[in-house]
Amino acid sequence: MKNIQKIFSLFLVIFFLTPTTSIRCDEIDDLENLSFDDLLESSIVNNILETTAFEFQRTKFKPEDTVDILEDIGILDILKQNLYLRSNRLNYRSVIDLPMGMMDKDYCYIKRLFGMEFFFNKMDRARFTSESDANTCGSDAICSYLALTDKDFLEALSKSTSKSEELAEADFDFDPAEVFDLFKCGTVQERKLGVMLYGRAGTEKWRFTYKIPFYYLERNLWITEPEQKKIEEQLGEADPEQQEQFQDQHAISDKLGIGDFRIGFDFRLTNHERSCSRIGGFATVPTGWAMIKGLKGQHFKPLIRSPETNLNDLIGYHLDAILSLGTGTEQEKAQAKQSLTDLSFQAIDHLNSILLEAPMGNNGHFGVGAVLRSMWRLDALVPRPWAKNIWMKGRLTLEYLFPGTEMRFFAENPSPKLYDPEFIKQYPESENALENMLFTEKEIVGKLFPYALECTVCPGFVFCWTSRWYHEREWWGIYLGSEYWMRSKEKFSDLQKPKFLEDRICVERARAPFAFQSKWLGGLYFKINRSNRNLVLSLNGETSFWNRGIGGDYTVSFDLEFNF
Amino acid sequence: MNKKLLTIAVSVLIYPFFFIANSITKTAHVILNSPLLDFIDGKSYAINGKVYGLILQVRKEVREMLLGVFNANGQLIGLYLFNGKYVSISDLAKLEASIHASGDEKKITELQNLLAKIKEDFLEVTKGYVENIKPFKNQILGLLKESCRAHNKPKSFLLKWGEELDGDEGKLLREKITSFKEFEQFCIDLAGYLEDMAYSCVKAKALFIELIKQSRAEK
Repeated sequence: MKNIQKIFSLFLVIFFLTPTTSIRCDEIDDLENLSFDDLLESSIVNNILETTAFEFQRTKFKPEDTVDILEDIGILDILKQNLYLRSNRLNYRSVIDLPMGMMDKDYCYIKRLFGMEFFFNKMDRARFTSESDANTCGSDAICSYLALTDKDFLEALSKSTSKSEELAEADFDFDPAEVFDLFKCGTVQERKLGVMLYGRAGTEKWRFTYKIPFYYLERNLWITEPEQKKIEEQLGEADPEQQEQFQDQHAISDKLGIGDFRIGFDFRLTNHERSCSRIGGFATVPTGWAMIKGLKGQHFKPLIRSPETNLNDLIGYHLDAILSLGTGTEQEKAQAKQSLTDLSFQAIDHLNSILLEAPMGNNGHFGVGAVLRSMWRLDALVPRPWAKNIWMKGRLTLEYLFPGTEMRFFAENPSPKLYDPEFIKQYPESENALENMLFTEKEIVGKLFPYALECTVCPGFVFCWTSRWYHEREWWGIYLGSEYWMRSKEKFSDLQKPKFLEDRICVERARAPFAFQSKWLGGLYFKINRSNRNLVLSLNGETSFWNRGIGGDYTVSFDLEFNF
Repeated sequence: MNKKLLTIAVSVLIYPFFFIANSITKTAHVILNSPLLDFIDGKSYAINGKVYGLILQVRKEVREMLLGVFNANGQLIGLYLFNGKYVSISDLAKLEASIHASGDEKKITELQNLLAKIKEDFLEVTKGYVENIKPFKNQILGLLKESCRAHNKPKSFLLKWGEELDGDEGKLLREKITSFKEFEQFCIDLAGYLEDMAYSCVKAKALFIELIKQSRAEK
């Protein structure tokens, strides 16, 4: 009976006291096995809470924090995407290839000719790639060069933004797809303003020709006015002064100098009353040289080495901005912000060094070519008096540009590591944090800054066919014509790529595509004739009507040609 | 036999007291589902072992203000002297109505002064924690809402307090809480939220235990 009483008493004590009294957990190893409630009541825990001053001291992010955050916001999916869809330099036409200095009157008494053609040439929208490589926006929109409308890239960015918004419990009011959409039709414009000096000397049979341009060359990033308004509506109006400052520092490249020097010769092949033809050769000497760079804008140098960025600081700053965390001191935050701004501008300037830096000539490539000229009078076909005043002049050239060392830009393909399940699994683990952070930093830099590497560039062939109909009276004349110009797709050899880039760079995306341009030409000229000399003043214009791989352009010029 | 009976009697008598005391402040813990917690749980820059300790510490101190502390005899004793007795916020919340009903101006004034003092104590106790969470105001407010929603307290003063985290939450407390009843509920809700946080941060809990082990090993 006593035993039953004892057991009952013990049961009551246990029953009534257990739920309310502290668990006397004196074995520290047991802590992990305790339920949450028991942990709160544990004497060890309570003792610690009573005797320890807990405080949170913010420190700089450790690599493990950084990779952790990066993984959380889906950086690995972003790194799998290409920012640069292409990294080629834009195709261009050397000024000496433009249909200028070509009045070529060829009067029988002419022994010498000297001309000055003042010109203005403008390309409204450069082509970033060939039509076949372009996306739906067209090859003249920056989104055919950068992945601004790439579905996978935007999806990865949107996911990352959404994740950050979730974490921040805030609406950033920022949709990468919407923002990039505002800039997707951005393009590059080019202007050339200068004078072409040209001349000719020789006999009726043999002639020597030369020409050399002096000009101002400007390229700039450009968006249309409606697009600008849309951007201002969406992102807010920028201060005009700041806007101009940005344009001058990060959107315009300009230079003043001389172009390549072309010398040539031809000799008369046939000569009849109503027709004649000449054949010859020419050489393009790479004298192209910019005497002054950055008059209004800048001269953008490619970033050969990686920028001095500290991803740790940047992520710290990003996190602060995204999640409103008060990490670091104000000074550190300001430094990180500055670092982020610098990185952004460096990335834009690097892009500018690819897109806006155009050479003054053929970029150091020596060229040799052949020329065939023909000229015949219409009355050879149409025996009418009026046909005697109409001439057809044709010029056919084929030039080979010799290979030369140039800088080209190569975007990196995503690292194979990003597709390795083992790597993805171990990415956030703290023991690999430093290595993974450096890997991520390198990949981000690789995405923003295509590698600038030297290689032997073979531009290949340039073909040009010009034909013009002249109607010429005693003291005036007009002409109309067309021109077809094409340049082969460039090739690379002896690429000086570092070992770590062995299989990562995409050479194909770096090659300037095949370029083709066809133009209408026209002009009006006046002659001041003297017995053995004359002066021809002409107003000329030409505009392209069909382009591939190069932007459409137009030229207006005023030519003074002395024949004596 | 007498001793045994006495033990049983004491147990039976103490039990309802403990039960009531616990039920006032203990509510079922809720796992907070905010993605933020996945993000910050166990991170050195967010809720690490020390911050987890800080959460538990504040929760403990708030509960002690609310209910009192156990004395050597296992009895709960309030931290504040009122009318010659040590009382807790819960005790004062119960007494409050009758004191007001009595119309005893002296006691009412004494009670008001005590409320003001306790509020200052509360601000002091929570100061370190509040300073640390201020930069996370948006996120904390999200977590507070989730906790209040889970405990079916959509109009809790805790939410207003959370909204003022980047302003002067002390002023809000001083001005808007005018009775022990309100203050008791606020303390219960805050302690509940802190428990939810601690319950939800599994990684930080492991780090906290690790911290305790290290601390013991150093000793």
